Amino acid sequence: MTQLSQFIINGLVVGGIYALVAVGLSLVYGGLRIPNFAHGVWVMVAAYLTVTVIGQWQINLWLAILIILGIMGVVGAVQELAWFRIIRGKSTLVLILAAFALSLVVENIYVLRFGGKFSRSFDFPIKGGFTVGGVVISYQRLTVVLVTVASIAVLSVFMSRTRMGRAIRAVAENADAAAVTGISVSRVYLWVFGVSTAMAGIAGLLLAGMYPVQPFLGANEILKAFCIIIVAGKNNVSGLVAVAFGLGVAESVAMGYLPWTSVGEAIAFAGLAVALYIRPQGLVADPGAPA
Amino acid sequence: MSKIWDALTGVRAETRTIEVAPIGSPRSSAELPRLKRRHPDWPYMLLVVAVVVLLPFITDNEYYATVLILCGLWSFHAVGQTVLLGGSGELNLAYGAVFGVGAYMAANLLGFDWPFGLVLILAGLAGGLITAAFGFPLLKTRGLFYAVMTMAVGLLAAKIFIEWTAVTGGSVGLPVPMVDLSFIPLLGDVNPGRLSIAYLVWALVLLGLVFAQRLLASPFGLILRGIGGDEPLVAALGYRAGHYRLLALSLTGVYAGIAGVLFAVNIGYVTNGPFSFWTAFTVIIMVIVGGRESVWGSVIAASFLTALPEVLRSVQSYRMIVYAMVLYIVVVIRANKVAGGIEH
Repeated sequence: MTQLSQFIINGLVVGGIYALVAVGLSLVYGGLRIPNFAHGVWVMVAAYLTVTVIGQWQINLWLAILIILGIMGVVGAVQELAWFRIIRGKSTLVLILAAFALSLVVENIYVLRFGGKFSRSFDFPIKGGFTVGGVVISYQRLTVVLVTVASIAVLSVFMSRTRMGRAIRAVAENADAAAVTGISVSRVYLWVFGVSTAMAGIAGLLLAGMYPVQPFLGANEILKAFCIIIVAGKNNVSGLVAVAFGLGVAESVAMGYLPWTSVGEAIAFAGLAVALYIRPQGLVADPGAPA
Repeated sequence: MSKIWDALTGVRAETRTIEVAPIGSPRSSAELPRLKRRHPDWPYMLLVVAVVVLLPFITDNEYYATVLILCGLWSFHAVGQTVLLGGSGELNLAYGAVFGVGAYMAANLLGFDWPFGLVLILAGLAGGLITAAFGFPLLKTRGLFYAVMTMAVGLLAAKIFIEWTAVTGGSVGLPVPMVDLSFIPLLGDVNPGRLSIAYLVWALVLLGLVFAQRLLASPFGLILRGIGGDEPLVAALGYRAGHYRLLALSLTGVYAGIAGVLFAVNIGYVTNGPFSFWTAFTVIIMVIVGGRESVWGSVIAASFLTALPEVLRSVQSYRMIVYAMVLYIVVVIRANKVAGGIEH
């Protein structure tokens, strides 16, 4: 029982990261209909940044979060300007290929810079932990979950309370109608990419404290995020978070009790296959948009 | 695209008019016309044969044969992927995994002294069947979801290749026995060595190319391209869209299986490295750069993209960056051409 609780706690931590990546991705994919496969690459970039900022410069964790949020936000906006603006509104195939190309470029730059196998990690500044009924909960893991929940909460407030948040939702609903009411669609695109990439940045920062950092860190995350979005529906934040945590726990428990380490991956994909077989349009259908 | 619609719907068809069946009643492709091709193939074929045969006479460098083989292998991949990508416009990102199945079959079965021809055929069949098996549940998804699902299959297979050490040798790999290719006649008094493999690979490229081209021009290809444009419409006309999509996907699997054997025999030792998502994506880049619906285009693009970094002797990562930039530029410049009527 203790063991099971431990697996569940570990799963919640992993699930939190999945939720961050999936929510960030759903901003761009759900809002702008751009299947941004390059999203995972920014998780990796942020993880490397974290190793530099916290590991080498010894900057305070909370300040580092702000720094990385800022840098990744700008990177996201530049990504939109320099890479995606020119093909805005083209077919999905074109967008998928362009996003793949971007992720290939960034990933291989990091392979050249840091090597494909070589991985780096750093000491997470928050140490220690406590025990509840035999289950060890480290402060680091607790921080991960708290930061995750806080980020998603801040994002929800941003989307519902601020002018820009409402403009983003309007563009997601109907870009032409939003433009008619005087919303600058180009500015919304910049913001969506910026906010989305900043979310990837937080995920990268938290991941860097848990796993070795290597250039292919994001590949797994992006695939899981797409699985989660497909199952939960792309404009459904609470659904995304629920599915992400569920997936994290299921993976962790499966990996704990079954002999193969790969079983964890199998769970996400098998679950996705079953879900898609039952409801090909995604579990939560998105009215008005083709799958 | 309009030509395809004319033929599919029977409106303004140049060759003959199709009787319009009641909506929803099953219809077969037999009643459709073949698309006429504008250019004859034989000049291209002649050029390929000339290059493969004459190159050894021009250069003394042994390295040319390796480049020739690599160009042939990638061309073969690209031709196979064109069947799907040039047809219904779907991305098979599990391609690398099926390629791996072919290669591991070669390593194991050739080790049991099975004849090479038999292994080649079996690998093709196995590739097709495996692809059909995982492709069937995928039929309900389209576009992006389809791509993500095939990517998941590919990643799972990559895990299996590492874990199932009895068959794959894990990350250490397996040696592939030498194959006696002395039955292939070589022209001229040149060093046979790897040249027989080059001949074999390019012969299969031409064979696969003729097949792919005829297929895409056939009624089958016509319907497939119609599905890429508007699947519900094609289904409403009475064609079972799922059958066509599954068959096209499985055919890429056949190509992948055969390519796996060729790859294994050429390199002599297989590890799990090449059987990843990146192989699938490199092939897709080649097909897109060559023009999605053009089979010869994918051969030219594959050869060019393979030979260029090979001549520059660059690192794998530089190569991927160059490929990605070429892909991006092509996609930006020819966005409408790349999409070519694909709606999803």
